[in-house]
Amino acid sequence: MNQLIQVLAFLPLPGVVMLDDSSFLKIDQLTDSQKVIEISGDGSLFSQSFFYPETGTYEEYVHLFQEFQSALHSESWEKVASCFHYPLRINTAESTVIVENRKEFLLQPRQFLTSKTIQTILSSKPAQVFSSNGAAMIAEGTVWACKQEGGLKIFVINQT
Amino acid sequence: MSTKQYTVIPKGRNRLAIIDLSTKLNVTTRPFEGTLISTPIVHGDDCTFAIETSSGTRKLISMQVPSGMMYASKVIS
Repeated sequence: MNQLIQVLAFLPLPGVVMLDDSSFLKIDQLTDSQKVIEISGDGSLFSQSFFYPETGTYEEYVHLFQEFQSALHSESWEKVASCFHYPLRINTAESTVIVENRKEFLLQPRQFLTSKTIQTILSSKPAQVFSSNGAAMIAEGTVWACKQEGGLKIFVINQT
Repeated sequence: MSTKQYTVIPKGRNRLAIIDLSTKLNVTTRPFEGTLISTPIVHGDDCTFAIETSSGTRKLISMQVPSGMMYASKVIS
């Protein structure tokens, strides 16, 4: 299996996304959905999830999370704010904070997105998005998005 | 049965997190020994998934949601 993974790293195949030197995603286009499985470096199944056009395709989620990461990296708070659906739910260790609108977020963005939370998000891989029950997440559930009227938007942040 | 609904997500290597569907809060995180060989399924207050141990035994594991307490383990091959 390890030899196969090394070959895949050099010869990208359709539907295969390398995450690092050893782990990869396999994306199967099914009739009504996409099946995405993640294989760890030792060849074992890490995760399996399904994406549907009506709730957001794999590519749409990856694009959203890439845009979000890029905006966070450059601290472009207006762009960060445009990735959210309002009211935005921020789950902290102690309680839940609801950010009602863009204006409220832009007043104190770092109050909602702490340094540690930002670091967790920036160190995650958008390609590693996992879908469940009509929503999808990155960073082990730190950021959740789903389809809204204006397209895919982030609607929950779990502070780390 | 709880009125809340839950789902399961991968949480690092050999760990699963149970998530409250409505709030996306992480309710509990549970480690498991072995390799996951099935997608965890949540049905009501139960979460079931299959693993293969290092000795090659395949087991069906049942877990209480949201406590994360494992209450059943059945060898399937």
